[in-house]
Amino acid sequence: MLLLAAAVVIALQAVGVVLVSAMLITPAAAAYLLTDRLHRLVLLASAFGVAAGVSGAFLSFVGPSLPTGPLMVLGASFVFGLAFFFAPRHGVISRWWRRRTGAARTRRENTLKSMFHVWEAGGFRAEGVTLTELAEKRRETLEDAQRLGSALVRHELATLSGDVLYFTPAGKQRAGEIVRNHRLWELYLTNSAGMAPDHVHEDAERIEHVLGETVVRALERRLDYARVDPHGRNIPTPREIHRDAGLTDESKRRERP
Amino acid sequence: MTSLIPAYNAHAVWIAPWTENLGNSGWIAAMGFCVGAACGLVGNYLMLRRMALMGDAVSHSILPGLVIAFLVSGSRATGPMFIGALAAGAVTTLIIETIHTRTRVKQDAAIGIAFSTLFAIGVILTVGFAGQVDLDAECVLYGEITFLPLEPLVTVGGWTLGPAPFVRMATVAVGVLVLIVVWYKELLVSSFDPGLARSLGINPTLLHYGLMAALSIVVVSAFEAVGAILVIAMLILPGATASLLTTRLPKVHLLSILHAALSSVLGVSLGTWLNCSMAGAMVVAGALLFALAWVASPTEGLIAGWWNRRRRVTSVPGPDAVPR
Repeated sequence: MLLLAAAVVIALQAVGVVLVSAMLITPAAAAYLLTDRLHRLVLLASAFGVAAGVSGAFLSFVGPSLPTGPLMVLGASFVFGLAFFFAPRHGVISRWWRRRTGAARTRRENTLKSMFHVWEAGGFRAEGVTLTELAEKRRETLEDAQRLGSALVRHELATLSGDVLYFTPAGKQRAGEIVRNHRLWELYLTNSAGMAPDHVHEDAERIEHVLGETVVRALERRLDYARVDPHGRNIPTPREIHRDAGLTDESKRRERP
Repeated sequence: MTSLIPAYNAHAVWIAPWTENLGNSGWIAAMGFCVGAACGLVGNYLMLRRMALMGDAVSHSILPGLVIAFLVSGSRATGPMFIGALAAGAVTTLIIETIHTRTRVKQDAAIGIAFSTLFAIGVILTVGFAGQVDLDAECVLYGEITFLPLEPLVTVGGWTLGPAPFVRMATVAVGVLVLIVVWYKELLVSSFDPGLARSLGINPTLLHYGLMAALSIVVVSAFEAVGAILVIAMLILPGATASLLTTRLPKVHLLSILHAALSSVLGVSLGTWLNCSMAGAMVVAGALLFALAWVASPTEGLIAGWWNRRRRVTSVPGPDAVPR
């Protein structure tokens, strides 16, 4: 507070009583959007303050009767505006972009999951999933299924020939992972968190897209490498997921003892 | 010291303003009361919503609105000024909401950024168009209530209502009162529990912007009398004093109106005695009333707190008296 008072008194002569608060807040807020580390925050904020002061003083020389203090404040506000829109992690544009791409990724993964469910219901026998089956599974129109399918094709998660979707190796792996995440989480919620089996689906629908490999390993350890989820369906194992064609054989073998 | 503080003369301070000089000080006190009452009523809600700083923000960021309205319309008539103030208030609120909902910058920092930027724009416009703008920076910041009796009188239907700024301010104060009476329930719920308000079908965002619009109108009409800085005190002091004395919102409203009346009357006396700015004296009187409430409030005051603590200490049984 003593330092603050000293800074205010010194700054009063430069920008005036109201605008001091701008020079105190704005550079720090801009820096706060750009970094998460305190020492970088301090350095960035003072750099922004200096830049605002210098540019404001320079601009006030340009015009005949331009006041220096307010121009300094506008300089700081300009820096904040840039940070507000373009900050790499906390900026508005990058946030919007992340949310958009995140939503699209979730949609693709849900399509893969539906394909996996259809494939599983057929006992892993069929090589591909028709768009009609996908639409039926997702309770959507054929046009919707077509759109979802072409999104998968664009991201090389599936190939489309005629109206049959085939997993690519990457697509098959991701589908297995998502289904595994979903069922593992349902099992975790029923076993360890004591939730009723008919309440866990909604939660798992959301978390399946964000579980990372380390968390999954920890979950598996904790659940004793269980193979069956609360609804009685198989949880794909890492071996099944990562061995490209292996999933079919493994599951078939298990299905016909 | 004698030159700093004029000699105290009980007659000149307490009696004369209300007898010989009633024509002058009566109008000044009435104007101060209207400003205090309108500001206090709006300020109560600002305080309840923990947005006391919004008054500060709006009172400063109105400046560019006024300058632009003046440059566009070329007049200082009430209409353009109100529109400019409303627009500036809306822009301020919008900027603050955008910054603090879209990024991780908190609301207080967002308020600081928004109002200082707009105020800087206002100052640059004022200085840049110095030849055309008839805005006195001193007047904008500190106001001048003393010239009130010199303003032309407004007459409606044979009734002399008073000087023009007073009539304007009284209209605004009555308008604020009507708005609060009409939307009392909505304001109450959304101030204390925004979640409940939303579930009851009240739109808190709309109410927030409405409150900010009322704040802009009150601030711009109080500008002339008390200026941008003292209006902040007028916004906060009545509510702060009243909330020390009661916890019921209707009583808070009544007490803040009473606070406005007392501080304007005391302010006129104080200003007469010290021969200083009337608006400043009114704020000082209001602050003295706040200090009085802070010390002597029956529930929250320092004395009551000390007394209660003492009584609790003496009435609490010692360790020997623990029941078996």
